[in-house]
Amino acid sequence: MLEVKNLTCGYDSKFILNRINFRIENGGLWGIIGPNGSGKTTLLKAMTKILKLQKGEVLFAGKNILKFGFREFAKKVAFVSQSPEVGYNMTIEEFVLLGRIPYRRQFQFLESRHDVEVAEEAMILTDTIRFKNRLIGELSGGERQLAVIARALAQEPRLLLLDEPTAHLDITHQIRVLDLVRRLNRKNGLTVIVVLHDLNLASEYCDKLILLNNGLIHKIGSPQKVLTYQIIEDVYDTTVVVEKNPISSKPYILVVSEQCSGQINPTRKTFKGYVQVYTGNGKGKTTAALGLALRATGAGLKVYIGQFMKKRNYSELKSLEKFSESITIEQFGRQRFIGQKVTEEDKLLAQEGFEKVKKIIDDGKYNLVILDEINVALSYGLLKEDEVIEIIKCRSKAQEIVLTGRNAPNKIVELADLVTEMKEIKHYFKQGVKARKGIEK
Amino acid sequence: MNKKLVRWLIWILILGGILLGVGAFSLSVGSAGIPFKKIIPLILEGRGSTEYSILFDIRLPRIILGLAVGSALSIAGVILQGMFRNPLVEPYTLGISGGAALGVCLNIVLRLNVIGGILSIPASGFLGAIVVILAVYSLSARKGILKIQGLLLTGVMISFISSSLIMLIMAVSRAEDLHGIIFWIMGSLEEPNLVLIKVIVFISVLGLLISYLFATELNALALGEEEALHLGINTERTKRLLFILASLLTGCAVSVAGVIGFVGLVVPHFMRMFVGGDHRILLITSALAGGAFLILCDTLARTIISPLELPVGVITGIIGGAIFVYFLSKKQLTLTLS
Repeated sequence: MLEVKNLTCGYDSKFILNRINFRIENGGLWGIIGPNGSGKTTLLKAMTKILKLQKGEVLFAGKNILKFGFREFAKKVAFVSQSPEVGYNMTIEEFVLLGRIPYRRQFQFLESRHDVEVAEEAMILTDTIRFKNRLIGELSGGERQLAVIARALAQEPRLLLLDEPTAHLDITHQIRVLDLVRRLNRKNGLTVIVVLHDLNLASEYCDKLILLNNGLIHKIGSPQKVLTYQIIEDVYDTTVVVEKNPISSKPYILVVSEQCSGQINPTRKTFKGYVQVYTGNGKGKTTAALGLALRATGAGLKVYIGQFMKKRNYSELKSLEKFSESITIEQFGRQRFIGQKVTEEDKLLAQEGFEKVKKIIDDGKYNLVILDEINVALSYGLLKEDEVIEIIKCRSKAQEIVLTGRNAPNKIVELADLVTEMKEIKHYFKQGVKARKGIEK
Repeated sequence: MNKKLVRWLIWILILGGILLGVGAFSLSVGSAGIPFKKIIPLILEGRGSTEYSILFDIRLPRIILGLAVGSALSIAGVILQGMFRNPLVEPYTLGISGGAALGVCLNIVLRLNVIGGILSIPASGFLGAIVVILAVYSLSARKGILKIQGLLLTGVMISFISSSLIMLIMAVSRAEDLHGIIFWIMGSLEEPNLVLIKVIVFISVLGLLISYLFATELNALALGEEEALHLGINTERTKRLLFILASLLTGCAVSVAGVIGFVGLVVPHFMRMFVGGDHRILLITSALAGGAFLILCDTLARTIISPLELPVGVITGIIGGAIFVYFLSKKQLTLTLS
């Protein structure tokens, strides 16, 4: 029915949505959820030709939507937008008849009998026929929403898209609208994609959910799969408890206020990975991280070590070969000592490495990710602080991240769960002693 | 549905009747008062009498011109209000009339009409109008939303700029041109050139027909541009064509009758109150009512201080300006056309 391939788009060359891929089969009822600004409405706009794609394509029934004419597309896909405007003051019937515009021929100014019949049926389905002669401006928010859906139905679409149809509605109308949507889906075979803010409504009504976060698909699947407390806490950064709805046995999300969050089972907290920072001017930051890696392997965890700005002949490389099943180590860039100048090449190498790290964290296969000397790369300006913070925030559950290097940026220190500062009190280098193999290197 | 059609037809008949009545009234009043009952015998008598010639060589062309200019400006007003989704825009308030006037002034001063013929005058009016319309639209669209105050302010400023430029032109122009410009700029339906009258009649009829083809699109655009797109309207193409059409109507009307303000604001507004916002009926009734309104204003203009004549722009300006200020002072300035 609808296939979104590698979609990337946004406003004014800013990317709002990145690499979106999914496929919706005929007859599904899909929900799109996600925090404010995660790109839900943008995704709908991209799927309906309102927004130009920067990359990728959207296929409807196997055909690129750009190849559809405006009218042709409007006969197949109808859209109910968020708090729609209703134009000039007209009766509900006239308003619903506007949905027949795609079917109007050139030089046809009046609605045909068939148009009126279709509109009538749409009003019966939405139960708006009762007030078909009332003016649209007189309707309450809920009634107006139903009228807008009736107009969309008058387009006789195969796919119906709704952007937060329950916003600003009371619970009666929320349920009325969504019951209608489900009825249309089940009985009339309409494929539906609906953007919802309310996770419980999404859980209750949708077959499948697409969870967006920061313009990326965070998770896609059935409500049971998507609406777990780990995922919600990850994406929404809010403590919740997920129970089962006793009637429908769908997931039901209960919020936990800050005041009560102390009563949450403390073992749950460990589920979210810690962020640890080893910083300071003293020796032993990398060493500590390596020690942690060694300990983690003993517990059966998988470890990834990315070393920024390091030479290749440190002896840990050789020792870690022995743990190659559980520890992966990669090095990016060249060593720079304090005060040395960095070049454009260093920047490129560091960013290349960073891209790799990003993928590793996105994949979430490693339990412990050590970003060695990343703080130094940051303080040299080789990497962007915001980007590093973003990947830290994107870490999946049970993924610990360790950042080492002197001069850790304040923002990262703030974000971290554990910060250790190594302080140099004495160092034999100052007495002219050279580095020793196996100890220093 | 049929009920609606009947209602529409009744409105068209009523307005057609009013138009005929106003036309007959205008035909019979003037400095040489010709009683209404004398008109029919005069027609039967045929050519020859002075009164016949006053009626058919002086008053009738003026009435026809009033009808054409009034409808052209009203249709342009309906189109612009529909596209900007704003009841306060019209050719005058958006500065389009000013742009057209500047174009015509340039034409007169540069004597382009000597080279290009009389038709170059409406053509230059059209060019002036379209430049302004594109400027206003791109300035206001860049901010994303067409904010009403910003839009009107831009229009007023463009009006100022063009009237300053017109004054600049007048300051440096020859005395014989000056007279023509001043006379024309005040807005008058006295047009001795029959060709121009025919052109504007043709353009008005054409404008009504073409705009009527876009009645559905305008109805959809009333819901907003994105909604119109979802209803299968090619909004970009529609807007382009309608802008050209509005410029053509305004440019031609201004080039023949000068700057006559507020017709395009007052008429569509009242029509919307009576017949509703559906453009399928709004366009026709606005054209009819616009014609009747301007003929009436013109009749007032030439009889109030008879035998002297007021520019018709003064009358429409006073009536329309007052209504405009009243709307502006009303608190709720929503974009919906009510």
